Parts: sequence; C-alpha cells; structure tokens
Amino acid sequence: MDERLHFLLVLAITNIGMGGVVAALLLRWNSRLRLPSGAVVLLGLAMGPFLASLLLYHQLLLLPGRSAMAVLGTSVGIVVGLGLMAGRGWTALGRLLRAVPALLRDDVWMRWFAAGTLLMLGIATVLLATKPLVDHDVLEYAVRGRWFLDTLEVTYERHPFDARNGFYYVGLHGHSFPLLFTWDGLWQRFTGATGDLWPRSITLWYTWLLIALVWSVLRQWDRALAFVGVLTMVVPFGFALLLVIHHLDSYRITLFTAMVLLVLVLRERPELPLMLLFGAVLGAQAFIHSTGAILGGVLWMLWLVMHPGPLRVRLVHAGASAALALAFGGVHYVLDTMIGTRWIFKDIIWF
Amino acid sequence: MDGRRFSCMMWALLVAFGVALPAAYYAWLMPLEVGDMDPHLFERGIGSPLLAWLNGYLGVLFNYRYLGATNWLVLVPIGMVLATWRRRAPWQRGLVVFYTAALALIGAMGGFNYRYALTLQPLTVATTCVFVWRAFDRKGRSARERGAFVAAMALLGVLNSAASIHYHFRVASVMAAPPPEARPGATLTERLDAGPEDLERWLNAHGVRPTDTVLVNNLPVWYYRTQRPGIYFWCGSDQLFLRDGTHALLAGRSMHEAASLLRDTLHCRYIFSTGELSALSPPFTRFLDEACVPLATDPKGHTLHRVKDTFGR
Repeated sequence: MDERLHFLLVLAITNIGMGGVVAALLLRWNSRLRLPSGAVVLLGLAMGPFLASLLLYHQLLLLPGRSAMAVLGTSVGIVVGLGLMAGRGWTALGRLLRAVPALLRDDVWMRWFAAGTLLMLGIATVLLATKPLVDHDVLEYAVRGRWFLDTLEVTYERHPFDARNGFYYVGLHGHSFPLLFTWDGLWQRFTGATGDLWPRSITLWYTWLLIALVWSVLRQWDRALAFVGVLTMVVPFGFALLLVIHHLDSYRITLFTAMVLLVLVLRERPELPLMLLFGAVLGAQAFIHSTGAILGGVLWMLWLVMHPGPLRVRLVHAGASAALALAFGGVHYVLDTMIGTRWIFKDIIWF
Repeated sequence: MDGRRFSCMMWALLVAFGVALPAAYYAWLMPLEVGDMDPHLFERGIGSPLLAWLNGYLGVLFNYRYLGATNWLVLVPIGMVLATWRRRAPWQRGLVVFYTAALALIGAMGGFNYRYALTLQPLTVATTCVFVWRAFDRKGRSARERGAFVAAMALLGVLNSAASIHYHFRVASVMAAPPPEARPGATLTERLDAGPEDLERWLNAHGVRPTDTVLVNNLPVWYYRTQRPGIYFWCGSDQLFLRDGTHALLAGRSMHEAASLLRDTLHCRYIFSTGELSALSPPFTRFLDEACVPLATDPKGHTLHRVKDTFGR
C-alpha cells in the first residue's frame, strides 16, 4: 500500500476511530461526569492514540512473544467491545457533530478557530512532506518502538541494550510514545507500507487538540478571550518549534493540561466518577513522560490533602484513582524502578 | 499607600517587566558567541548566573527566547493568594502550591530545556488570561479597556517572537560554521531536515563495510536508518553505553590508550558524529584530531573518522 494511504488508514482507525470510541464512552457516562460535552469529545480524541499504546503495552508485557496478528487482533477486538459498550454515547456524539455547522454559522469566533484549524492542516501537510524524523529524542523513541515491534515483548532490565546492533535506550520515560511507532509498524506488516508519516503526525494532532482544549476552556469566560489566549499561547518561538520537531511534547502537555483541568472540576464536585477519570488521565499523561509522572503524583497527593470529604471517602477516592492511574500506565514506573533501569534514581545523563 | 498610587506603581512594574526586561534580555543579556562560557551552558542559554536563573530555574516565566513575554504575569495571582493565604479556599491554596512545586521541579530538573518549560504554558496562559479578565471586571473597567489589555498581551507575544527569531539569526550570523539549517539562503527543506542523506551510500562510499562496528556519537539516526552495528557513545558525558552499563572512553586514559580500547577491545575502527556535537567536548575533539583520521564530512555536517592503527596511520 502507498505510504500516504497507509497513513490515512492508521489516522482514521486510531485518531478518529479509537478517539471516537473513547469520546462516545465518556459521553455515555457524562450523566455522571457532568462535564462540558465539547471538552469530553476533545479528551476522548486525545485518548485515542494513547489507548493504542496502552493496549500494546499490557499485551507485550503480560503476553509476550505472540504474533503480530494476535496482538493487533486483540487490540481491535477490545476497541470494538468498548465501542459496543458506548451505546447511546454514539447518539450524543452524532448530535454534537451535527451541531458544528450551526456553530460555525452563528459564531464569528468559531470561524476564527476553523480558520486556525485549516492553517494547522496546511502546516501539517508541509511539515509531513518536508520534515523527516531527524531529531535526537524522537529517534530514540522510534528505535525503541521498532525494537518492541521486532520482539513483540516489553521487558524490564537494568541496561536496555540491544545486542543485535549495539543500541542502548537511554530514555527515562513511559513507553507510550515508542509504542506508537510499534503500533504503526504492526499495521505496516499488513499494509506492506513503509515510512513513519503517522508517528510524525502525532505532534501536530495533539498540538491542535491542545489549542482546542485551551480554546474551549477560555471560551467559557469570553469568546474573544479564547482567541487572544490561544494566540498568546501559540506565538512563542518555542511553541512553533513544538510543531516542527516531531516529539512527544504536545502529546504529554495536552493530557497534562486535561489532568489539571479535571482537578479544577473536582474541587466543585469531589465525586467518584470524576475521581476515576482523573486517575485514568493521570496515569495516561504519566505513561507518556516522567515529568507527568512526577507532577501527577504531586497533584494527586495535594488533591487528597485538599479533598473536602471525610477520611473514609478520601481513602476510597485515593485508592480508586491510584489503581486506575497504575492501570493506565503508571505501573511502568513501579516496574522500571524495581526491576528495570531504576528510572530517575539512576545517574541521569543530559543530552 | 492609597489605591491610585498603588495602581500607578503596578502599571509601572508591568511596563518594566513587560517591555524593558525583554528589551534588555535581547539587547544585552543574551550572548551571541560562546566566549569563555562552557559550550554546553551557552548552548542551553544558561552561561552566566543571571541567565541560569532567567532561562533555567525560572525559565517557565522568563525564558523569552522560547516562551511568551507575559508568562511572568502569573506571579501576580500567585502573589495575591500568598498574601491572603488564610482567607483563601483550600483549592486555591492547593493550586498555588502545585504550580509553585511544578515551577520548582521543572526549573531544577531542566528548566533550560524550553520543551520542559512548555509543560506549564497552557495553564500559565489560561490562568493569566482569566485572572486579567476577572480583575478588570472587578475593578469596574470597561470591556474596551479589558480587551485592550489582553490584546496588548498578545501583541507583546508577537513582538517577542519576532525578537527571538531575530536573535537566532544574529547568533547564526556570527558563527564560524553555522549548522546547515541556519545558513543564510537555506531552503525550507534544508532548514527542517538536518539528517544525513542516504547514509548507507555515504558509508559504503567511504569504505565502511556493513559489518564494521562504528562509534556513534549520540546520533540515534544511525540505528533508525541502518541495520549496521554501532557502539552508542555521548562525548558530552564521555560515556560508552555497553551491555553492562556505561564506561568512560577518555577519562583516565591517554589518547593512545583510548584508541586502543576502541580498536583492540571493542573492535571499532570508525566514528560517526557531527562537528557541532564533537565541539561540545574539547577532549573528544582532541581525540579526533590526534588519534583519528578524518574520512568525510557530509553537507549536513555529519563526520566520519577512522581510528588510527597502532602505527599511527
């Protein structure tokens, strides 16, 4: 298959399909979560590629050495099952999507947002055509992801050394981003395509989601403020570099921001369903990067101190959110510290 | 102090921090050349104690080169919560503690790296915007005044980005050998693609066989684009990454001994690096000059050296 067709296929399955499944699931449960629908859809879309990496992680860790077909089939089967569970969430998602044209027609600021989205699409097209995978960190993740693809197992060892070619993985962080390369590689085994268009598009996809998330939050105060706030966020030179370096930063920052926003909702409604969602997002953003793991841990502890409920409720919420955080990738750091590289407790080298 | 005087003082501070500090930052504080600074620290923008604070420990707020010009405004709501700590709701105190802890952790663990500092950018911008919006509301200011202020914030951000890009061009203009992506007249593709072109063909053309082990100086592109064996190395910390962990190549060894370690023990005769990376370690540069023979440099600055044999050839 042509590389570009393969890219569109994986984009449709992972970003749109799996993201849509998570969005529909969250919308189904939104009667309990009571979150703004737009933000729920954005969070769902953000969890799409993450879900692909999480499903791979658990399979390669717990059932190592299975065939590519079995690994991919299991992932697809689980996602289809989740999609069926979403039930009436799909109806709600459809309703939201149908409301978009009217929103664009009636709100001039939303037209600015749409124009920005088109601009992002243009930037993405140019960058994907001209910028290969050349930067240090992302190449580390890409090589690690290919290593996972070759062995189809996740192991923990003191020195992650690949005896076949002498590669030594110096990365500190969770395996989510490398596993996105593995995910693309698994699909390539079926399509016969080569290249890395889809992993390279991840930065751009999450940059757009981050902009949309900040826009949707500021829009609650004022629509013009959303425009100015987003403009202030995107104009710094560092943010522009975020776009042109195919790195995991927009991926981790989007989910990190979502986690902090959830705490702001929790302060008004310290309820178990929200606490569970907080735990899941905490684990997700931790599984992407160590900064998220450390800051997420700090926020989790602070929230339990701030929690207005009685001790028993606090303990239930603490236990439930911690369990979900571990299941959503936090367990990586426990294993890496205990039986792996010792994570941040090893001698960290700055490259 | 009466309210009017306090308000004037705050505006003066805003102007000083919003305009004067970035102006001084680009005009005087940020060096264009490495001079007598550590090359690593210069590269990271933390070559002096003042810069270590501005771009490093407090990089989230003041690293104008990569982050916004108005991030420091978030200090105002934080200061207000701190000043009225006892009267604040637990969640407000908690968030201030979290933000401060995040600021300290990111600053201490790598604030000089703008990508880490960007972690807090959405929250910083959103908090600042909402704070300003509500503050103007509370003070009974008109929507026009409020809009003018946030628009000025955005404009300052745009001007700051222009100054940052101009600074990067100034740095490149005084470089003896600017990297290909920073050369004047470089096309967009050249600016974005710093990777080697057809690495396999280049290696074959210079006599490196597919089975030859090569010392790879922190260039994972080697493993991504070839199936060739390598020994991972980082000259900045003088560490070889081997099966049993890290080992020094140059520390505690003469040039001759280091060459012997590579050649005779690790069976490695070639070194793949870039001029820019090698320059970050004067001992490694010396090693390349004295114990190796340069074989090739590609248009993107990648270098290939051969370790001299026991007869110094």
